[in-house]
Amino acid sequence: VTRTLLSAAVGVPIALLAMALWFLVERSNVGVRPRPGVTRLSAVSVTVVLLGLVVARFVRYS
Amino acid sequence: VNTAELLVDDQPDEVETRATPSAAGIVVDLLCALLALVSFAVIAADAGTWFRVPVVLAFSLFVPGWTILRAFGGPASALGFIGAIGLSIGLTLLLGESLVLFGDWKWFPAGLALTAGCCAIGAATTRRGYLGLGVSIHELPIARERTQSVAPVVSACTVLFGNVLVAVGIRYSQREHFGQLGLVDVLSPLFWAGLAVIVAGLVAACYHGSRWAWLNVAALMAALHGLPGFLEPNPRFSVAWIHTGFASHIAADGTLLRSLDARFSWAGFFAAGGFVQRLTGTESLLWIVRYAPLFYNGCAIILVALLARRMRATEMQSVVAATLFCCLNWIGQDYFAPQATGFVLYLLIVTVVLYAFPSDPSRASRWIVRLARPAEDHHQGVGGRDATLLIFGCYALVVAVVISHQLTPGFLLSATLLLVVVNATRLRVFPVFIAIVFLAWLSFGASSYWFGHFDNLTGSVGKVGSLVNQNVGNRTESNVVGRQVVVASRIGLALLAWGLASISLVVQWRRRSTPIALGCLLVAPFPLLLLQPYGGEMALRVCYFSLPPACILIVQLFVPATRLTLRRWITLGVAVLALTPVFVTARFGNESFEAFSNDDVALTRAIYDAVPDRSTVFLASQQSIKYGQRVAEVSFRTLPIGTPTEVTDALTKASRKTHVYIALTESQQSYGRFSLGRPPDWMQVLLADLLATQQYRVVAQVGVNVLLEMVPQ
Repeated sequence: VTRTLLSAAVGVPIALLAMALWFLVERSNVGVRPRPGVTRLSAVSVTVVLLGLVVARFVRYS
Repeated sequence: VNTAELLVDDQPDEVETRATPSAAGIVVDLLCALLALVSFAVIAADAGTWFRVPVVLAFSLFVPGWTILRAFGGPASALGFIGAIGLSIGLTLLLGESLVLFGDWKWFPAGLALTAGCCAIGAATTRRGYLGLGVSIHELPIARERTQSVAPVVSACTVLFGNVLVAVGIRYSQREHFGQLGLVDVLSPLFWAGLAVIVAGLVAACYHGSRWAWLNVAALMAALHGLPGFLEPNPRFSVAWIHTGFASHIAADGTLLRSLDARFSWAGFFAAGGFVQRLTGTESLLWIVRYAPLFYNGCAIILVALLARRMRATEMQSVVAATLFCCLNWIGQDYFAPQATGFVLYLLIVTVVLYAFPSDPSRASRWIVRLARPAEDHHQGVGGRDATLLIFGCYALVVAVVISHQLTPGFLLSATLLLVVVNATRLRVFPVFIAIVFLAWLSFGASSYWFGHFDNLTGSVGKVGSLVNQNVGNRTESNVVGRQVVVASRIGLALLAWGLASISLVVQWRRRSTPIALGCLLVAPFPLLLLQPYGGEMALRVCYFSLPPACILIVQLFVPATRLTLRRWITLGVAVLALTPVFVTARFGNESFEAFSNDDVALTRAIYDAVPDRSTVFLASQQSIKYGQRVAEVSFRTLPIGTPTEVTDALTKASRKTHVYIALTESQQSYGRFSLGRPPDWMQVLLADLLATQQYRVVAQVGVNVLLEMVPQ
């Protein structure tokens, strides 16, 4: 289970999702519309999960 | 000259957010559509015509980016042109890596789709622009003359005469077997006279405030950075040969050799090289190596000039900044390499960020304003759909940079983080995005690099003494006088640039007009010195990435925005001219062992003709041509140090697994002599000692270059 959880098949989609969410946050930052709190919160959450996976991979495979 | 005109027409305070139909833009649209059409035809027919290489190369370096920019209404400005080059490179990096990882290396349909798509979109953009312009194509103004001045004539004549002198000087210089100081030892006085003429023309054009000064800057750049390409009989620098070998491997096999070399874990550049190699229909990319520095430095000086203009520099100040960059860029990272590509993309991203997303005064922190005393910035950025597209473009370039080079994302992260912290840009999460992409790629894309030895990656963090020793100490320990002069000139130029730039920052801080963005870009590379020695090369990279802001800061110190007197311009010209021999010493001081003679190249051919697959070739030093072909089949190692018997014992162990050869070359001999201080005949002595063991036989000999095969007893 751990190996599957730490694999690229799980990590890469999460990384792509985090990248897309941060793009949306940046877009709204430079726009005139109010800041989207939900997008920002989602971006932070997905990033935390991604960082957890990355750190876990470093610890397990280093 | 047309590009230069567009460059100086870019007013810092006026960002063209939407493309207004312009004649120059439509002409370029049309040319790009034609280039795409011809490229499609030659690739589809697999034509071996002479024009396939230049046409497809021009297409790859410019057309995809230009097509995208114009399709979304990008302006035909200098930033648009250089942005198109950067975007094209970024797209090729992403496409090449995608084809290797996910596309089963189907380069042929990908190439056809790319050229056909660019042709169709380019044709539509041309038609739309032509209808919007509402004039006959015969009325299109191509160039215009604004001022009645002698400057254009002086500039053109000095460039012509200077180039003739430079060319004749190169013709009468020694073309092989350089001495302790490298190229500066062998150059004819006519070369220096040519440089003096070009700089004199530059001074005259600057005094008259003429944009023709750009012609002299281009000539100076070509003379200085194209020098080894024009002078030497073969492409220089062993690492550039390795990179062409990596690209050739991917072009042929479409696979990555991650266990062979860490660079295959960041293979975007090599995959892009392999893709271009297949599209151009050549056997190797060695033909690019000779003139790659001209391309990279050409892009860099345009970006330095644009960055200077954004920092409210006048046209002549940006000319001087670009000239200084030419004369101070001794670092030698501008060869056919991922870091050179990464550097250009880094500069492009930073320039676009500062142009399109300037600071938001309402978000300025009071303590930063009090502490840093930033200059007022009234620059208007872009908004709406343009902002979204530009952010997307910058983010795509970040991904291209991350998959292609290990270090550039670090510099980009540091620079953008500082710009955000001091509110020099209104972007807020750009550094977060860079960090995420970098970590994700390191963890999932480059895992074979650190699996099992993560400590190697992080072990040097914070060990300042060790890092300084590897970066500086090891490079200055030679006791050869010529070598010491070369190293001193490098350290001197680096300290000169950093010192003058720091003084400029202090002076402007006292005037309460600190160019805070330039300050950020100047200091941003330095934190990376504390993280990794990078094989003793981190200091070089820090020098490289801090040079553009340093040049602009130096100009702000010495060249006021107001018109200068002729005497001041002459003084500046003399200073630039005095820098050139120091530059040539610093930049090409290693040429005795970084250049390759015809004999070196002939022995390399002999090696690949003679050695079978699964062979290991031992070299007395790594300053030699290697991995140019059959990257997966023939490996290279450094010859163990010891007596001939000890060396032979070590090689005997290796010979149980592979065929063992020893290659001793002229470039290795020069490296030992001029860098390590060995006697001139050290290699002949080593050869005699090895042959005396009767364990080796001579397979090939070209001049002093020898290939030995270990004969099993």
